[in-house]
Amino acid sequence: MHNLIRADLFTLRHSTGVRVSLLVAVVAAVGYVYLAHQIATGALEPSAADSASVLSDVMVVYLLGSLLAGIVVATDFDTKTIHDALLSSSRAALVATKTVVLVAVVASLVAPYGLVALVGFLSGQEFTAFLPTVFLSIVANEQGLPADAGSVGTIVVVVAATMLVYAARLSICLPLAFAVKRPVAVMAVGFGGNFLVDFVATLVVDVPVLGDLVGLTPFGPTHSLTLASDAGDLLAAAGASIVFLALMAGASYLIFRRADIK
Amino acid sequence: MMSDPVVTTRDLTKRFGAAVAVDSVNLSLERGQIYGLIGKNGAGKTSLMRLITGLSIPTSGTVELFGNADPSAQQEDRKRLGCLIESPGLNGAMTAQENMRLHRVIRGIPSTTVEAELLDLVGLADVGRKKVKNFSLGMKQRLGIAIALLPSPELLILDEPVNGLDPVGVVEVRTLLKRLSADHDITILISSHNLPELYQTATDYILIDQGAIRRTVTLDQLEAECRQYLRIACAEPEKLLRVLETELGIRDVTVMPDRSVRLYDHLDDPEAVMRTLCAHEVFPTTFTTEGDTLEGYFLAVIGGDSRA
Repeated sequence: MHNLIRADLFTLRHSTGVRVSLLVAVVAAVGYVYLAHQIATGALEPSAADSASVLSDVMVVYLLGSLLAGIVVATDFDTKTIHDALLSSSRAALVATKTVVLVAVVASLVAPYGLVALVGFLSGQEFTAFLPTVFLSIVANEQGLPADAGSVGTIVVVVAATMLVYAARLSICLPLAFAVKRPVAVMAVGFGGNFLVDFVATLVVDVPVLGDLVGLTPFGPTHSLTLASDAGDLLAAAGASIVFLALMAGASYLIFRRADIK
Repeated sequence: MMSDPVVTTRDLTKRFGAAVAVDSVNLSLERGQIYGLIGKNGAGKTSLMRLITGLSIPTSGTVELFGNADPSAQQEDRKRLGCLIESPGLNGAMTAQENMRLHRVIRGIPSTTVEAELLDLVGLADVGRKKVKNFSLGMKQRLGIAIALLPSPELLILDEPVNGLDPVGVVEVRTLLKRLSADHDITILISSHNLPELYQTATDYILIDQGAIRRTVTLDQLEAECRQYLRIACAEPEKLLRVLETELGIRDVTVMPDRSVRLYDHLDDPEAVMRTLCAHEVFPTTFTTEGDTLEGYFLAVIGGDSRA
């Protein structure tokens, strides 16, 4: 499995889709925080927030994350590299590899937002949290945290947990990718599916039993972390995410276990 | 002396819905042999190769690898395989060397020198930074063969490996495969539509049609089947043999149960044979050139001729 992970990372380094996606994530993250600053200083009208929402982490990570999930899984099938992978490792190891690499890829999409938010937080500049997202809550420093090592540590932990939550949410693309093996199809269904599940999760949050069940998944509203989240929230979000990732990996294995490889 | 088979299949069957891709195949591949897998498009060649490599799961039947029949334990055995099935497993955005590195990492091979050695072996040492997407089909095939050789396989499975190669490349690949088989005792299963090429490469032939093995023959058996001869029959076969031997110096003859004679010499000058026989008052009742061509033999077997 270690070899497969190394090979996947080597492949992704040569993927134009991955390079462009990471570049877009960096540009979007910078633009997102810059607009939050411009709105806060009055250089832009608050109504600009509507347009700025396309640069939000939710939008960018869902869109590009779904695409990259497809690329991570489908590239090996396209290039037939999967043949050698299955001669050297088991199908279970291959699914586990793809799960780990998906987490790494999603983390790399979230990282620019985390980094830019941290820089914004430490800059002492004025920012507006024009959307209720974790990164804007960090730059806007809604909790009024001091700019010290302790706060930086808190931010790093919250960002890391957010990476895990995003990876778990996007892991619904894994079984899909093993089934259809087409990155664009995975992107379309994954992007739409994540928003749909988010929407449904919001609707049923107050419904008995259903709300509790949603809370056990990374789509639970309490798993959208902020700097106000306590250790219990963080652990619950991480736990739900890890269990959900394992479930999606299991579903992928069931699909792939006896699949014929072209 | 015959060693344990590298691959044994027992009633191996693969169905896709109602279609039978591989039909109760019983096969045994011995170490160090080069097997030519011959069949029409859709005959089941690639499906059979996929089943042996574990890329496809049998509907029924078993594949035994290196004497191991337990599917869950065969993962280790598959590391002893190299394969090129349908098309080479190449990433077009990478160079040849990067593709080699990718597969070396997948295979967990620590030696980096093997990349250059194998590229040199298949004649791709000088391609530099050229991306594989800009390679010709022949270059991709060569690279695919190099990748298949990365793990120093004991069983090499090659699906149409000379497809797209120029004549020089075909000869090089043939020489390489023969050398690998002879020097390293590698078993090779190779499919090709290029029958003359397979004839010069393989030591054994597996004829497959509609998913079923129609016949397996060794090279010697095939040559015997395809050997051309003059068939001569007459009222006095003893006299015929005497004239052939004394007057034409012919010894390479076979007397058949019907007392006709198969003459394997003088195929290029049957007129001289006839003239000599008549001059010595041996008058043939049958005098024809017979025997199969390679393609004729395969078509007869695969096409369901009564001999099959």
